Amino acid sequence: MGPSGSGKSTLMNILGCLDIATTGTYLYEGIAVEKLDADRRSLLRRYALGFIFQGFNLLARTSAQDNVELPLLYRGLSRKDRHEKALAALTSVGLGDKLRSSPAELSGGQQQRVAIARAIVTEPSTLFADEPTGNLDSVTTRDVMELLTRLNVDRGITVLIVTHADDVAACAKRTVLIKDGLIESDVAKT
Amino acid sequence: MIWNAFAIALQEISRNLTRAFLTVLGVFIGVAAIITMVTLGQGATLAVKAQISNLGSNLLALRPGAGFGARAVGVPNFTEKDAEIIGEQVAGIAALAPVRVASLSTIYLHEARTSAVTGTTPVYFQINKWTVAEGRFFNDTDLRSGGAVCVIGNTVRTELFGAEDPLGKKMRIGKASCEVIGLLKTKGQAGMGDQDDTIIVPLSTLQRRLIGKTSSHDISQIAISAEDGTNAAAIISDITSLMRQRRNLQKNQDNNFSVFDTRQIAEALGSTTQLMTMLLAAVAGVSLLVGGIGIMNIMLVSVTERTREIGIRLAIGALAGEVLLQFLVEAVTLSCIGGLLGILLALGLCVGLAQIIQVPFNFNLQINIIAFLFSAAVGILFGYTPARRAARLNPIDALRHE
Repeated sequence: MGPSGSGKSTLMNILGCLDIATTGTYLYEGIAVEKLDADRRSLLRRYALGFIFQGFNLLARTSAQDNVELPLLYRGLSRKDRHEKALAALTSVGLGDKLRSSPAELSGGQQQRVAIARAIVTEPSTLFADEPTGNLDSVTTRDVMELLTRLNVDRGITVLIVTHADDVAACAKRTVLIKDGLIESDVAKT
Repeated sequence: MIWNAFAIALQEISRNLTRAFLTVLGVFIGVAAIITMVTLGQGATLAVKAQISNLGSNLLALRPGAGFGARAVGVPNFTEKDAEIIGEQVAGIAALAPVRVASLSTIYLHEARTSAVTGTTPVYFQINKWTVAEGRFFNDTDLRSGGAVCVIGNTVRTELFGAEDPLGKKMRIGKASCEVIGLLKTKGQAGMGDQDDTIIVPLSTLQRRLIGKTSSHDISQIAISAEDGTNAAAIISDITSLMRQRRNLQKNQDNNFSVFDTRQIAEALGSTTQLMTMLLAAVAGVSLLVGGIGIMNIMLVSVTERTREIGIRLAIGALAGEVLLQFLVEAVTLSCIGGLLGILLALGLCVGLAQIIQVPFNFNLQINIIAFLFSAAVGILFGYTPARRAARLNPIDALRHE
């Protein structure tokens, strides 16, 4: 966590292979990411990483189910497999009954849960969440955080959260504080 | 992946049907215009070509009066003697037939109509490339005796006889009754009118029986076929000087007759129609091009509009090539839909217009395929730039795009 402009989102983008650091190197499972071309990084994201954004970033005018199926489409899964996995993912975030709803018909919390379903449907090893609760009220924030905690505990997915809210940070097992592009503290919960 | 891209494209298109329709409108009209122009143009060319082959390849026609227009007062017809002498004195002539045409009322039972009746000699059939469908032509014996026989074209047959077999039946032509001895094989409609609306009788029959008393200057045309490989121009100049002499024209007087080389006229007509077709198709091609620019416009707007979507796709793990493919497929799908609609419209237009302007309608598969491929090519050509712009987006920038 850290204040605005401290560089936490940039760090997350670099870690999530969305961006490349101007200097230095980032090793993801021993691979120097900045040496990969854009397509290789895309493949890395496709098969190993999941993303959740502050603005949800769902495809407009597209049903929840189709949104969740999107990453599976790029993995080349069959229609039947896509349907099954999307249904399972949406059910696990508690939206099994909203398959055909478009984002406009869903509340902010529901939209973010669809986004989480989309991120976990590919069973990534790491989930990157950039201010996942930034646009949500305190009740839905708690729901979303519970969901993310459960993913970490039940499925063993590493969840990286960027936030400047203390209650969100409190859910984490390890908190890194960034200020002006530098790590100020790195505390692991015991 | 291509099927995925196709599915995504269809989904995108169905989301905004009005916009999709406006986008493809240009291609739609362009394709329809090209196909219609080429099909109708080819129909017209075909009609002219059919006429050329029906006319006979070396057909010359001697007619009174100068040029095509109305004949000046006092210009005489020809005589049978004229025909005879041309046949004797001009070299390179294979056959010639004096022709007299009269418009006479014809009656069979209760059916009556007015038909153009041609009186001529048997060689006329050969010169004008007529063949019999049933029965026979009249022969020299019929000609000498002025026999009451006639050969009829298919239009006369259907109009007067209906389903009945006309052979051996007697029909009234002008003042006398003639036996139908032959039915001509149909030549069909052509630019010059219905060639099958004709009755052909021996010249002597027309002169003596059907019309009655006539002057010796009663030949309205002399049909001449030149021998193969002869120079038509030389024959025309020979006939011209001979006829000037026979008609007692002074040096300062203009010809009061003319010799037409029907093949030349027909060929000129044919190449003119073809040129027109090509010109019209080129104009239609420009409209297709403009349609393509319309697609590019909308696709560029669409890429800007959907920058965030592209960012999401890239973040999720789409490759640049996949994004490119998606937008390219979308553009090509749009232009192909336009192409298909254009083909349908062209089909309707061709059928309708062919009837109105009276040219034969031949479905031309080739031009339909070409126009369709052209529309697909337009989609690729004008879809590529927007698609590449989409594919080159940086995921971070695209996600931040508002």
